[in-house]
Amino acid sequence: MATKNTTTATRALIITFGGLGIAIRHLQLWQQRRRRQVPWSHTRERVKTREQPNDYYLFVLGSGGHTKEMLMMMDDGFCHFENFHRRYLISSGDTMSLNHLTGFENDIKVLCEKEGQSPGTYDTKVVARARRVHQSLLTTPFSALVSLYGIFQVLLSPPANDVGKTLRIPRLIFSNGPATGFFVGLAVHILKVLYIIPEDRCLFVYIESWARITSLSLTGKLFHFTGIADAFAVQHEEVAKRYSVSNAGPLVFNYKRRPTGSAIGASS
Amino acid sequence: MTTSSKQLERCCLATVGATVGFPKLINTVLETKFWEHIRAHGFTSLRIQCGPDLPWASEYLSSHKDQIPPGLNVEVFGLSKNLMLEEMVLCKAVAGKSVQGLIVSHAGTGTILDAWKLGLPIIVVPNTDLLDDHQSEMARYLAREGYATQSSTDLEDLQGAIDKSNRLWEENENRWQPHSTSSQVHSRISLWEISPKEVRREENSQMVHD
Repeated sequence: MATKNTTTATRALIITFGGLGIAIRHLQLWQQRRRRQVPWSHTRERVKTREQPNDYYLFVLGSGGHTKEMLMMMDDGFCHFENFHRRYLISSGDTMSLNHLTGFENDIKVLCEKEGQSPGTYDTKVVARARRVHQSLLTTPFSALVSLYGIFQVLLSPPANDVGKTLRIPRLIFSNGPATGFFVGLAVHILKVLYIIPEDRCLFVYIESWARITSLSLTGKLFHFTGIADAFAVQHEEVAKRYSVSNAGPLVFNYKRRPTGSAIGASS
Repeated sequence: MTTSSKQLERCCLATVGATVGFPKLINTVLETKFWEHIRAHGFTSLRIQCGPDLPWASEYLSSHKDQIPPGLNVEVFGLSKNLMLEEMVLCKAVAGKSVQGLIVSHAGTGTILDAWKLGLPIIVVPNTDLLDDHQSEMARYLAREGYATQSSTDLEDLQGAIDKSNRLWEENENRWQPHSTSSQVHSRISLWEISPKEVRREENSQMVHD
């Protein structure tokens, strides 16, 4: 009888301290994020190289519109991708994003070759959808768990190349609004709470979709109110003022237009 | 309009998006008066992407073929696999072949961004029947910033917008140029420069604000 009580007490203690530990860790991470700042406009000349010799970014794509916008933000004429790995996370069945992405990577390759630069490397990972359109709310938690498990794998499996040998997990993660973006943010937070991912890796950069002029999307609201993104910006002044967040300006218009028939033809 | 022996092509693409359809807009661009108006602006081709509205639109068109003004070709279609590469490019100016055309579109961001990528003038017609009327907000923003001309589905409005679009285009041509060197473009950060850092004492004050 007494032993049984002791075990129960021990269990209760473990759970209490475990819970407390997680809560403290959670707050600690949250405070660290608040200290991080991002310059959302130019203070110097456009960079020609990134800061690290090896680098690895993860881009969360999702549905045609979000993907199109993300690729427009990326396709700004920058072509210094030596030792740089881009990983793309797309949802199962999203062939449109896959097509756009392949076109974009082809364009980058052509551009870099023309400039005598390396296009770097990329790979694509597919995860199950957290929630299909019209899916019942009752079954959503289960599909979300399956999706989360897939996301853990995407975050923790290093790229199969030289960059992956030194950088096993992404340095930065970008998302502009698909629901999967929030699940990736959540997965990163969980892995940081558990000390599986170091604090200075997988920094999450959330840029709200250009389509959101006066209000945040659901994903944007989740990031804004949970504070689990390391950097958060919108693309319009109205929505920036409404939520007191940074306005990065219409980054989609960073897209560098090319004459028809050259690179645009290549993306078909 | 028939004076020059070698007439240059000019294409107008009307598009309503893939999913919901926009019968009011299709109705307007199928009016004989609309056809006459764009013909007077030198258009030689009107292509209408109808989405789910294709059945009735194509039936209407075949019964009104005799009302199409000479020199104008009107076609309807449901969807395009890649609207930008298959249809929008027809609106581009090609030396000796075609003059710059026009896109008349619902206020869907995908179409708007594609038209912008190709540097084509666009008239946005918000579909006010949609949830929260979110397209009106987009149309107002685009008109305010000079990226597009706004119109309703009303025939006279749309005719006025076409007149205005021609003028706006001439005035604002600079902002549509590939990578203009205006200060506006340069003050925007490149995605590749974004890097969250712990704030260090010496560098934060000017970095936070734009």
